[in-house]
Amino acid sequence: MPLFHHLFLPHHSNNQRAKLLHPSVLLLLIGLVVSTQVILSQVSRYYPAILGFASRIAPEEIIRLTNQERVNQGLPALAMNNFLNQAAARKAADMFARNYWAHVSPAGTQPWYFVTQAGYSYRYAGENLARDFSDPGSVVTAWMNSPTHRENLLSNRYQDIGVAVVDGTLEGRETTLVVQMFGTQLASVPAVSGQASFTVSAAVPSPVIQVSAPQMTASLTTPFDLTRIISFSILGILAVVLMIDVLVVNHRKIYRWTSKSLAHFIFIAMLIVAAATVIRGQIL
Amino acid sequence: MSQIVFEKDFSRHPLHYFTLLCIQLIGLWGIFWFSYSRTTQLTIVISMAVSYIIWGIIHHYEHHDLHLKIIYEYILVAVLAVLLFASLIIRS
Repeated sequence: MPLFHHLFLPHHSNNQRAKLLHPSVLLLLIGLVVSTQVILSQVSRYYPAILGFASRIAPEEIIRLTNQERVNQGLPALAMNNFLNQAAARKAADMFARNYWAHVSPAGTQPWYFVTQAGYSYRYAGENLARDFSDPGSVVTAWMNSPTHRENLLSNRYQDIGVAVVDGTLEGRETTLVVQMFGTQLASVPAVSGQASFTVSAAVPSPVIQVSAPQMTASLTTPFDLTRIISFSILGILAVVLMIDVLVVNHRKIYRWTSKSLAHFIFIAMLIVAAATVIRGQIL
Repeated sequence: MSQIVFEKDFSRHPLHYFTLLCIQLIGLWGIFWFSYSRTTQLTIVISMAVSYIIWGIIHHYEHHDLHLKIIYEYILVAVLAVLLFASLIIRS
């Protein structure tokens, strides 16, 4: 109990301020956070089976949710196109092979290259990318929250859609990539619009391939989950200790020459709320 | 004496705490708004932390109790909080 008072409450043993709020302990916590992140990086890099990645994303579900968003906006649903599925799968394979997270590869290959290579002759084409999401709903929500991705999802230029979800290692991390390709075939649009569009000659159609759902990895947990637990634990304990400090100091009328606990509390509380909104996954 | 010091803090500088709250709320709104851009979110959090340190310096200067030790405390809390948020963003 004395240790508890010493660590978490203003007490004569800690100069009337919880030891947790002393600069020496704050510095120690900073060191612990940095060390933990370095260890997590090393473990997830060299032992992906321990801290790997597990996803439950079916391409069909991405398409269904995309169409649901379009229908909600009064737009026609997109038709799943196997050539675009194939283009998306090839793009994902290229990203893993060349180890990049971008629309354009380091070699300068544009997304449209994969579309035409798959045998889809397009008038309009678009691409959305996502990685590290755990479920399809989060992917589509993240795209809808981004103005540029939303524009692709809700564009009335597109008639077809293709999606690939592929597991692999990207930039040293176990990753699930989601590639979403949109398109309108050259033959589908009778009149050329005034908008800029891509026009390429149709290649010989390739055999249709099915893009399967990713395999589940047998990881115990993810680095994100562990980081989330650590971040919320430290921020939460700090917020509680600060609040107690404000109340106790006010109640006991303690005079101290320190920084203001209420200001720290406001700042930490805001970051807890901000951290609660961070979900796993990135979009591009 | 303690009563005077504590009441001074709230009654003499209510605008200080209101300003800090507003700055942090604007930052929070920015983090929500730019939920699709990790880089922007990180930039906003760093800006929130810098604003908070500057707030601490101005507040204690006005309170006539500014000391290097106090600035150090604000910096440590800011660095720790930013590190925790940044690690979450990077791992997401």
